Amino acid sequence: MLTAKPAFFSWDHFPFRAPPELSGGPCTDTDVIVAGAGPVGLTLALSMAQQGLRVLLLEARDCVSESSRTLAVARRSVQILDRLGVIEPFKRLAITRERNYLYFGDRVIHSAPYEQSPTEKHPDISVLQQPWTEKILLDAVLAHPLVELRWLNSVVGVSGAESERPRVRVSTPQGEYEVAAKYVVAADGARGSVRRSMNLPYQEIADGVVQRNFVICDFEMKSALPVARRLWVNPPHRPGSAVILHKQPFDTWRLDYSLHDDEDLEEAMRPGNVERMIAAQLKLLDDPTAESSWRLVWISAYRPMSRSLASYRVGRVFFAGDAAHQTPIFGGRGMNQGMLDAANLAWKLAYVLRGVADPRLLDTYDQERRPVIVRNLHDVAQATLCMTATTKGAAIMRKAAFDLLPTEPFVRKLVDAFNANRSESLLTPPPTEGPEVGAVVGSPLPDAPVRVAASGQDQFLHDALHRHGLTWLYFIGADPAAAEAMTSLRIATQASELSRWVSVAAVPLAAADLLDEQGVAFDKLRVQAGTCLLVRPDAYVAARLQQPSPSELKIAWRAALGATE
Amino acid sequence: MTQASINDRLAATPQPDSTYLERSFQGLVRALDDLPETESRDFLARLALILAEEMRDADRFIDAVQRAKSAQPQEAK
Repeated sequence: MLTAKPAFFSWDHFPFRAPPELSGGPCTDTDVIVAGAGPVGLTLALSMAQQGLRVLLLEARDCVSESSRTLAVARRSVQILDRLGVIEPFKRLAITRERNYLYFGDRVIHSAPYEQSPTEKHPDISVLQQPWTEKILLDAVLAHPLVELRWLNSVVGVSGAESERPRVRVSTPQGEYEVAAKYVVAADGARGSVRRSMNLPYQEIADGVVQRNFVICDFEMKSALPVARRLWVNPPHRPGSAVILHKQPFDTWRLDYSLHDDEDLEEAMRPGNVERMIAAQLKLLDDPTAESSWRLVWISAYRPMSRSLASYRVGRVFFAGDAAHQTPIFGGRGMNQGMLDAANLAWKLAYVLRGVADPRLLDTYDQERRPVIVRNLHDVAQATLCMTATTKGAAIMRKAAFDLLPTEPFVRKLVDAFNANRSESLLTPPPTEGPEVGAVVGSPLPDAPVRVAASGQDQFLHDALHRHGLTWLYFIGADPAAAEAMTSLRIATQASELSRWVSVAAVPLAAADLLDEQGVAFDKLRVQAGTCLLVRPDAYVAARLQQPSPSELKIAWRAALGATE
Repeated sequence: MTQASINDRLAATPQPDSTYLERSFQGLVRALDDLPETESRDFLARLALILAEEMRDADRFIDAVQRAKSAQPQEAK
């Protein structure tokens, strides 16, 4: 509930416009229907429209999300926004999270900076309230001629998922209608009607799920403290609890804290009680730069959920974001995993509908995304267990972990979701990822600073990737023979609007598109002259070859597009 | 994928390989929850002995003993 008008955002409300189907007009001819215009639905719609698909986007509300919701926007999500061409408005508003603090009681047990590598274009974690992220996407969606967004159109059910054109039933202020499309994507959240109308239950994942209520609130306060996330476990004014405090843009702060089993939720959410909690936490924070007056603006509650559908695809209906899986909010993996779902699915739908990929490519969405989600849920569950420790066994082991934390770094990932494993590999089991292996098949392409050979302009490797196509990234180093081999391959490979060749050289060679004279890209990606990477539209490495032949390129290309033979 | 095969998958979803550390931690949590509090200390001593046997490396084990001893109790204040 809002307790005061927040300063960080001003909501536009969009009018209902009666669609033609309501008055018996012809059914809208569209390629894909997306249910839900939150960040995941907006990302899907924009991405598919940019690839030439007609999208009907149905949203039950008349505005973007009505509270701050997701704050932490991970690097991969920012890369998605960059590829969609909406990075500039995002960068103008977002702030960069600098540090993570972990307290036990009132004592800082561990503190570490978020990674701010100069070899990455975007920071590890940007912070921006979700309504802003949605608005940035929404502005681009509204400007795109291939997306029709219908406000106050609530999807109430889907039928014919296995048919050629699933039918979507929609409820509006002026009645109900049906509309069909070749594919439907449910991005309508955890309480979405698509999933419920198809009788698809969530499966609980991980033993560490904690059925405990958390109160979450936003308050406004000017302070010069750095942008940080602070997690208190067992704070003195609230023993046995976990309390998290984050700084947001626009002098807004987020506080969330766990309730004990015997605490009444309604009582805990009373503004007076929340204000007392904020005051106690600020006293613990002891910030000399904070203004003494602060203002509570929003209160809500949640339970950490750890769930997933058994499959993210049923026939021609796909599930993305919270409609597919629910993640505890610790570790910032809810919206961010949903954006990765959207990036994974959008290009595949576009390629199949444009007839350039085998329809079996669509099977890979569930095959790739679900194991990543389940792995993430297990990773975060462990930290959730430590944060709340609801049993005596958990409390003993949590104390042991915290006692060891100052001297035993291995414990860190056990106790804090943000330090939990963050494998991004789409392969099961995941291979070793990290700086020692560089660019790995099934993992996102690492970024690195490079220079455009023709103009001398500095940019990053990801800037050179084909936004909605596959990129052959060929490293020629300082080897003219590698440059010649690449040129021959380029000629032998059929040119296509869906592919792009980008060569990276260590010295100015005639065939070079990009220069890496410092060797940063070569070193970070662990590549050498003759290494050829095939990078997908979602910036995942589909293939890694060394001095490939034309036939090897052809095999890699076909595999990337879903052909299995 | 059909509804029937989805139901099969729901019933038999393989668990991913959690890391050894998380699984071990959670195994200990469950064991400690199953025991009366008065028996926790004896249980942990027995466990240490079993693990010493599994390690079969006295130097490593004694080093681990020293590391555990030198960790300062982080009492909540």
